[in-house]
Amino acid sequence: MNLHQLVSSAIGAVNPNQFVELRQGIGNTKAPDGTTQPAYATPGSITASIGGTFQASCDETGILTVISVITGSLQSGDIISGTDGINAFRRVAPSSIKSSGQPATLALISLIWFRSPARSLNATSPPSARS
Amino acid sequence: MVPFPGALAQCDVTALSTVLNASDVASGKLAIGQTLADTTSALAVGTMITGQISGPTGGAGLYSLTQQQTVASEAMTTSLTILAQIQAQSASDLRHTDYLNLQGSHRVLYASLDIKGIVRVTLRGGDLVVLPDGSVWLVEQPVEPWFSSAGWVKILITAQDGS
Repeated sequence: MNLHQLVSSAIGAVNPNQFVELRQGIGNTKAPDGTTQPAYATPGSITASIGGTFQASCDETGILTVISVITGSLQSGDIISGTDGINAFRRVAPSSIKSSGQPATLALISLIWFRSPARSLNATSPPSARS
Repeated sequence: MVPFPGALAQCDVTALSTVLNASDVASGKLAIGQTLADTTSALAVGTMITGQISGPTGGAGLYSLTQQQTVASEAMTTSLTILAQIQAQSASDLRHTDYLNLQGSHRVLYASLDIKGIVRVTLRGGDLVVLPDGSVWLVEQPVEPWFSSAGWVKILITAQDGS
């Protein structure tokens, strides 16, 4: 029987839970002089990006072609949006993306694009009818 | 919006994502539950890692996040914050530490996470706990390590000198 679970709410009423920082041990690191120091998972230091910005175009068949990667990378499930000032789209990237993962110079993804009021994407030009 | 076939001229495209693309892990090890922070405030507050998608465990690779956003490549730091209950030692805890001949200032802590003490055979040091007042405590021993069965642990912690 999990007695702790039964009484934890009563204990918490008089001794509330608190947020504490945990540094989980991950072994040790060895210095050049041979000494070892314990290593911890946190605090950690990383270089990373989330999402990204790209130069891209979309043709008549609904294929978005990423011409160049400005920052980051494109992943399946990303919400991708763009506007050329008149036409705009906002879609979820499909499950299959060529050149996913690391920043790619070219990625082809299939999507249906939308003509939408440009103001919804903060475009500078108003929407206009397609010729 | 209505689907409409046509061409989109070359333009800037933004991808909002819940995928962290870690290109370098300079120190530490990424894991589920860790919170990300940066100095530029580009990251959404409270962004947390929820899983690893690819790459070596805890290393550079792709990780899923709690919040959708766009952040250009930058330096980030990771931390792990948990909710815990801190208590003084009970009479049986005091006897236990006495039998182990442990000296110092001790507390016991209840948490719903697998917190570990030292494991000599794997050359693994005990976890560290930083209390709200900034004091650093070493996990001396998991007194009741029931995480795998009941989802919680009771650990004995000892105050440390600095970090």
